[in-house]
Amino acid sequence: MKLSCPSCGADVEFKSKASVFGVCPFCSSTLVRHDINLETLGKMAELPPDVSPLQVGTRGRYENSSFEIVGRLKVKWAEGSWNEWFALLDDGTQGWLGEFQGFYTMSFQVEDSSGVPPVDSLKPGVKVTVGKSQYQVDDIREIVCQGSEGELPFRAVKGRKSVSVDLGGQGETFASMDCSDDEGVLLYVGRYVDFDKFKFQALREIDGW
Amino acid sequence: MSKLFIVWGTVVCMWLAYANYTGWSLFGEAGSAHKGSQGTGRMYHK
Amino acid sequence: MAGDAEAESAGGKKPAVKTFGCTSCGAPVSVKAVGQTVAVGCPSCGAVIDVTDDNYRIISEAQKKILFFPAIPLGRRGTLHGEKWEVIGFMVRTDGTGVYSWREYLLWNPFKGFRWLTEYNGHWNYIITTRKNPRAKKDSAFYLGRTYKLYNRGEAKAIFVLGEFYWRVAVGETVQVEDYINPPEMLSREVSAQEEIWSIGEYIEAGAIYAAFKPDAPLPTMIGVAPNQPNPEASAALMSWRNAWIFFGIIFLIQIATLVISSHSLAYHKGFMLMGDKPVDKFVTPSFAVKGWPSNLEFTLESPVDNSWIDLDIDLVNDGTGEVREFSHGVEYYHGRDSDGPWSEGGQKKDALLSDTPDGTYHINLDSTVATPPAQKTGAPQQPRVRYFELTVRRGVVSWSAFVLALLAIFAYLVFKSMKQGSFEAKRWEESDFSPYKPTD
Repeated sequence: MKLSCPSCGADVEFKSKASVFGVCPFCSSTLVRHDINLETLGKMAELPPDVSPLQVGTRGRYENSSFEIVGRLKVKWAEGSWNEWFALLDDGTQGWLGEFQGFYTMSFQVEDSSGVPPVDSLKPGVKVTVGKSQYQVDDIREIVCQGSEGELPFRAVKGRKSVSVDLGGQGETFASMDCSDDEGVLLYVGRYVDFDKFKFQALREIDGW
Repeated sequence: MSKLFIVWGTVVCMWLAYANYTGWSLFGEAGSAHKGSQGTGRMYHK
Repeated sequence: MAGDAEAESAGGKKPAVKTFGCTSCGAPVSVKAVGQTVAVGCPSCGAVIDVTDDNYRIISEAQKKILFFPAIPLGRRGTLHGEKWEVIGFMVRTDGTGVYSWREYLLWNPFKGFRWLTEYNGHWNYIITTRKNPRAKKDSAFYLGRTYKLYNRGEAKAIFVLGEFYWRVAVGETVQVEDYINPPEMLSREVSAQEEIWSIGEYIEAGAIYAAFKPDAPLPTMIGVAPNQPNPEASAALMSWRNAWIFFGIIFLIQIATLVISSHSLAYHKGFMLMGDKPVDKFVTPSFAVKGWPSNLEFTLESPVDNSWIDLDIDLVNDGTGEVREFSHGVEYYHGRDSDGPWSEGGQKKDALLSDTPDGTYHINLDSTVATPPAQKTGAPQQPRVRYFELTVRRGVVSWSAFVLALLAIFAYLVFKSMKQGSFEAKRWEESDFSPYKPTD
């Protein structure tokens, strides 16, 4: 749907019905969507630069579907930062494409996160069961949102603090949790995917590569 | 196959072929050879 | 951020290199893996700068003198395993004692992430951090269905840092390391206060590194055997075992052919009576024909010796050439009874083989000697002397000793190859505290 930015009047497109948050591509105002109305929270600071090959608009293949990247969340932790790309599949499914030091994951939110032990009890090596699968905690990091662009399904405000837990399962399976005061525990399940398997199109051009 | 093995194996096979040609045995007699004129001597007994 | 400069290509925001002035010495420092690089070692003064910090604070101080230089310069690109990589970082680490040092190169590709090249004693490894943690138990580690044996356990300390890194590396930072090997791979575990990182490396020939990155100077010379260096003798030994069958087959064919063409024919046969009173006797046989290629002659001597012996001096005379081959032959047979029961020794029949006898006409000169029976007490009957012997000469008799020796000779080569393989393995484990060749303390 195309809505009008309350700050500069430009057209802002929301490709996903689930997107409740966005950044105006023209004036960088942070926008919260209430049904068909947009409310502005202020300006989104410029994202720290990086050399990620992905960008909003990049398309790719995952299993038997195609997807398009419609938003990005950049998070920072003690030892650096990484990107979480909000991906929209053909059939409307929302996915998250994690990009960290050359490792890529595609995961999907699991509605019921009740079976997961509390974050405080988790540490690397602890086993967690999600649905029928077993995972093991790999990393727990305190993260801060450095900024976002495009559209996102939650209020990804700069400065938003949460605890991010990465878990690994059988083979290439992957799970992650985002635990914050405002949204509670958001649980995602998916797998690691090789860059080449995504068959990306409309990648960002990187000078010299 | 390495060159050394080819050479070694070929030499062994050639040696075996020659040994069998001459009917050689490890337990055979050396049989010291000389040119002699042993023709005379007692006639054999019937 | 003060002192920032972003090189932007004309026509849009194409990300490129970020440069800033070193907080310690002011020299320009560049960052290529923008967003991923967290710390940079200044190429001019050796100070390590935190590039995520607004003020570019110094993580570790400048070095008094730059003592280390990368064999592959920073910024050099090369293709390995089908991907293009750029060297963006270089560090030197030592073990706990400071005696052993090795060099590490951080490779970066914006699409594929990071890899490492390590060099020790001129041997190179291509390394990636593992996605999943391997499982370690006692002196073994398990990863993706393969088992790795513990080779080394100790400390690793960074003593020099140059270029970009994705963590806040500091000169002097120390981690506990364990290396597990399954040539050509090595599984390594690094444990620091904050985390445990596993990586898997594969041995890569120095020649491949040179061809990929074309360094300005020759790479360090190789010393000794690297822990995960593939055993060049292993495949050679295996190939030998596989190919030995060809030679075994040829040997069998030669022997079968020999069996087929050997005539085993009778050349001469005669029984001899010993008439005289003396123990020695002389005989000259009539001439007999010997046919075919220069094969052998088998002389079978048979005599009814009973607790006695007979010796023959045999001269085989070639009528045509006059050449004589002489040798001794004999049989002896003894038997009796003692506390353990009956015993016997020797036999009444024996063969002697003369090889390489050309065809022609031959006769044999025989000098026989028989045992003189011992004198008996007066009145007791005198033991009879041996009075008879038979000589059979056969042409073209098949012998098996050459065949067996040939098989053993091929087998000896296989043993030699296996020993070379084994000695390489022993050298591999020389520098390890966990060598299966040495008793563990």
